[in-house]
Amino acid sequence: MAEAQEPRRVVDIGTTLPDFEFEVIEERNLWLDAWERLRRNELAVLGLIIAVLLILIAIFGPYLAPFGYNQTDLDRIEQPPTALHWLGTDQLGRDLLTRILYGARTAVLVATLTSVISTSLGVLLGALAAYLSGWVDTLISRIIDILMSFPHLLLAIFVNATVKTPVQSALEDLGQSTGLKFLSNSVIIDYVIVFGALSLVGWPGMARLIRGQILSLRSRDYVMAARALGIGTRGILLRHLIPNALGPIVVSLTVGFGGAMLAESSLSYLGIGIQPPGASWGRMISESLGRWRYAPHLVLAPGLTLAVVIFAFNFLGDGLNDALNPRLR
Amino acid sequence: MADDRLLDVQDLETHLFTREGLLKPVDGVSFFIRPSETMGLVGESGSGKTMTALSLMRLVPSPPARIVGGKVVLDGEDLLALSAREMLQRRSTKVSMIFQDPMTSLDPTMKVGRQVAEPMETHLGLQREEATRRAVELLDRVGVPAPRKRIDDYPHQFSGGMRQRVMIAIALSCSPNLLIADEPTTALDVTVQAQFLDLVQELQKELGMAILWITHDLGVVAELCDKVAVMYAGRIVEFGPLSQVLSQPRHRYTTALLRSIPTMQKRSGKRLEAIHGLPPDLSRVPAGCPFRPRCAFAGPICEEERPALERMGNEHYAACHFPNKEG
Repeated sequence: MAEAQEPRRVVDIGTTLPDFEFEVIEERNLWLDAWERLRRNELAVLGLIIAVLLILIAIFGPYLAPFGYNQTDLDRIEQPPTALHWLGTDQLGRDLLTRILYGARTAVLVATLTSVISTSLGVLLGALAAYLSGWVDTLISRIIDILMSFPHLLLAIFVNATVKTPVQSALEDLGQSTGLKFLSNSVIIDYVIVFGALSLVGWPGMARLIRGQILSLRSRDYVMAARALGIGTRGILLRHLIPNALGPIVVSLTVGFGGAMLAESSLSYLGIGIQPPGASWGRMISESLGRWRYAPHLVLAPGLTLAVVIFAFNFLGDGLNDALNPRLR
Repeated sequence: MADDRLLDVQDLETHLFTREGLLKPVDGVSFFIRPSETMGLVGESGSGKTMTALSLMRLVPSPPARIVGGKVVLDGEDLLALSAREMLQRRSTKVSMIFQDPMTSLDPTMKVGRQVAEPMETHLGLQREEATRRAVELLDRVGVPAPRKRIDDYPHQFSGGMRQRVMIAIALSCSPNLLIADEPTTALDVTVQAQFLDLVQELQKELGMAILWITHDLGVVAELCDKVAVMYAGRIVEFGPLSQVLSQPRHRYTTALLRSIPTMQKRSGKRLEAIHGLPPDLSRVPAGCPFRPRCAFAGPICEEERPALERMGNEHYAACHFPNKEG
């Protein structure tokens, strides 16, 4: 911050001349400003650190993990934490820390894909609805209403239950005809179905948010000015409207990221998400729930991890909301 | 029709279809502008000036507004007959518009240089580098200091006067034949306003575009314009060369308008004259002459018949049943 400068005194004539400096500009923009504000919010910074850690773990988890995620040690079943198994072992003698590291991978992968798909779909459809209005708006808004009238989890379960078999066989066929082996991997198929279902229930919320944003932005003077310059619909949407709605998009994306991880865990907990042997925190909780009196760490470790991560994303989202919203310009 | 007309507006009608009924903010407007000419369009708030300008750009807010009739011939082609895509290409390259409030007319999230370059990339097919280079030149030309540095700044780092300079750089970037300026100086303080008017005059001399200057400030008109059109309740009531309209107004409304301007010279101790009453609500425009209820000279015919724009002199038109005598 530039301090206001003292007027320079020119002693011999006895007048005061202001020390004029043209163009004192602060080198700042929206994102730098937001970063400044975010940095002052301790909870948000904590959230950011945990989020970054989680993503690093998701990427490098397999290299950090001391054991294979399906490697069983039948001599050590349901052990409490030891020097060898830092978080103990589960009912099949698998290393719990390894399972949690792999579970992070599942959670982040599902959350990333779900967020990317539902955000791009939501932003695109929401912006189109608001900017074009008329029948396009009516159509998109009604679809949003219909999708939002179902309880999210129930809709995701329904999608899971109905499309799983056909998708499975289609992917297997595809895997065989193209020779891409990973397509017929049952864990991959679970991923595809879970993030498909979650994206389907995720985009309407984003679309509604963006629609509201764009509706308020489209009457701004600079949008009129852009139209007066002959900028087409696409240019106005992509270069003027969406960048100006980016703050709420980022916030909603962050909170949605945590939400998607929670949803994945919920689905897996209910037994319709990631199937064994795939590692999912929700699944790990449900598998061990019957044993929590005897081996509480089996529930505690994934449960606490999940809770901490969701809190982290919510704190970060809240912080971003505060940092991006007071747009005083 | 004379072919030395750059813009020829004939019987332009823009209606508002609202729940309360049909409003006619532009009700049969006709005027013309020659190349490199500056025309002032004056009138009270709500007289339809801005709606006329937006109609020329085909940017009326629709719904509720719709251009229902007339012709806008610019450079030999009727803009109202073009397809939406063709009209898109005419903006910036044939006709540009700058708006009232420079503080809100620039996109806050886009660097200023990009905003100047955008129309050139869109309409002239320039590559980013070339467009940026020209953006620097343009900003330099309109008097933005250190343009090479400033192109990477955001609008909030500019003052109001500088932003209006940026606006005019953007508007002129694709060298339009006509610039529509909708009260571009009302948001500026008077010193900045004077600098801006000087700049516009210089640019016009250099680039030769015609200007349609919308304002309610007759002082600006007197300084800047070659001719004037006076609007009242959606109609042009007087139209003619600047000197004639200001010194020998024929319409009673123009006369009253000019009388209500305070002057430096006459300090007669009299109260400043004002026009009694308010301009008509567009949903209840009286039959006949819309100015009749406020006019001291109205006769019975004014209640019945809407006066047509009639020729009063060389290119001087007025729509009044009882015009001032000449001289």
